[in-house]
Amino acid sequence: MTLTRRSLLAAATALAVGPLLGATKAGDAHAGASNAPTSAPGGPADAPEIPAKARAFLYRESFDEAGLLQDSTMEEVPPHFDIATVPAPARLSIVWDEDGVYRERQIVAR
Amino acid sequence: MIYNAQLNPYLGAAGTATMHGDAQSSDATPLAGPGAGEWDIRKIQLGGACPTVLAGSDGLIQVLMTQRISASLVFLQPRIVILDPATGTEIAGLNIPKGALLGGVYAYLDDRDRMVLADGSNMLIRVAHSPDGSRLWVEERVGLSAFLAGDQVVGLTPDWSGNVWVATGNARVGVIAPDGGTIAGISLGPDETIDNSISAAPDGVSIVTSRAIYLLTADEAGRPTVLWREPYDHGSHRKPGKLSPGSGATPTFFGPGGSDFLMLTDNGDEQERLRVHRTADGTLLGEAPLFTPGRSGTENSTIGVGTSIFCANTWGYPYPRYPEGAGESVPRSGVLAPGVERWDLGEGGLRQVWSRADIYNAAVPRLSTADGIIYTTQRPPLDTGSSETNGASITALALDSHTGATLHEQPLPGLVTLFGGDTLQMVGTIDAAGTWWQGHIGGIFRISRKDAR
Repeated sequence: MTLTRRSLLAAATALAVGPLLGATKAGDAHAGASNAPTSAPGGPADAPEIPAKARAFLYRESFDEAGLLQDSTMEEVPPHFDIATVPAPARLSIVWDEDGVYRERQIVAR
Repeated sequence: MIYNAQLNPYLGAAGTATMHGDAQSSDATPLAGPGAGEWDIRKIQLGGACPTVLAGSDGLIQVLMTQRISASLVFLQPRIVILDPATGTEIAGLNIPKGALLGGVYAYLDDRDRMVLADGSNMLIRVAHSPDGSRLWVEERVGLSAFLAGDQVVGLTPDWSGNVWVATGNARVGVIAPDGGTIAGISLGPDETIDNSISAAPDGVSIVTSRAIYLLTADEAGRPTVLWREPYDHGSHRKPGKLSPGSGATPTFFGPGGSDFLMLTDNGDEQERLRVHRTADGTLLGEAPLFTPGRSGTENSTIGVGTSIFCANTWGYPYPRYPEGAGESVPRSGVLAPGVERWDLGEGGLRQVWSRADIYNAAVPRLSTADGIIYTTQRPPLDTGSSETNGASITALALDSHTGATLHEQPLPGLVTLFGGDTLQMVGTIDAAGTWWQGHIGGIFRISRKDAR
């Protein structure tokens, strides 16, 4: 199972769905991003379905040369906010409660 | 004794990838240490405490330290430092945003030798370095601000599926998917806190809170699920020599299969007890009293290998600073109490194999299964004639794990001061060359065989 999940992640990266992944790769060029569904392995198709009651928070962030966070602002936005409209670096955190379990999906603007 | 902790595919080399050696927190290593002959000891000053000393597959020493900004130790700035393994010379360093005291302490090396930690800006970061160690940078990050919501990460570990588990001070547990795109979290209890790191084995992740020990796993959707919970005697107060109320120690997986059992030390008021549970279902397999009644307490995670357990007393250890919210201890202060013990688990429960009531332990002991030696330090008290006070010097020790006998003891250079020399119950890590890197309050001791440089 371990190898399978790692293979899926590698495949997702190779298929250039990296921008849809939550983990920010330092040094990535700006690129568009979306929280629209996709069938790419490892991408949002594997991610939990976002319920209507979800809340979303947009983080606009800046980093130093080493990739450490220098500044950050946060604002609440609609759950289906299109982060592609925001210049990188920025991050959308969509959060909701699922039967008592905290759930979060992250989308990073590139 | 044979080192048998299963290798986590998302961690670096066994024995050097986490503060406690491996995912199971065995505090053991398959690598041989500097042995029981004369040692070459170098005191390396780095300007702050070095609680986490790790070594990557490239041989470079990676240290997560907390720089001392003022003599009062109020402002602690985490810093990652890379050291030349041959000399201990600093090759590169990177200041990390400041967070909680313990949040600046726990880190691990992943399978690509990157240091993984939660920084003070609520980011889970993976810090990579150039092949020569001269440059450090954040290669990946996951924002944790929404999940933490003001809470702080105190422990983290990867599981066997590549999820990263984080535990927070307010006893929340988060599972970050391997791609970092999703996080799922639960709360373990409104009256519980987490004060130490967490451990992992193929069967799950273990967390000790201020009230209970847990085994958890992630379901198919990546949600943390409690497999079992067992409360323990958390006592009525924090003891001198402990940083927090409750157990205060990281849980340890061990056993003939590598992780059949799970143990912790409790916080019984008069005397702490070692408790061993069956990993599969939490059944209590054995418990035993530790150290001298009235002066029994440990902040140190136990060593666990095969069916053997090694425990060291820290009751009374004079830490110069305590985490926020630690509160007053009862009694308010005490002199370091002695005690290092070996217990073996058998059919009838726990059996004491040896006890050293004359060792005043001052570091998290590390067992090398290659040479059978336990490496630690001790801080004997000063005998003023009328009363006992904490000693002003520390020695490095090699103990025979089979008998408890002292095989070698050598003074560490310098006295115990705020600026260096105090090993502060921190761990020592043994690298592939057999060098023992022992953190102290002002840097690190590099301890190697006399003839090996």
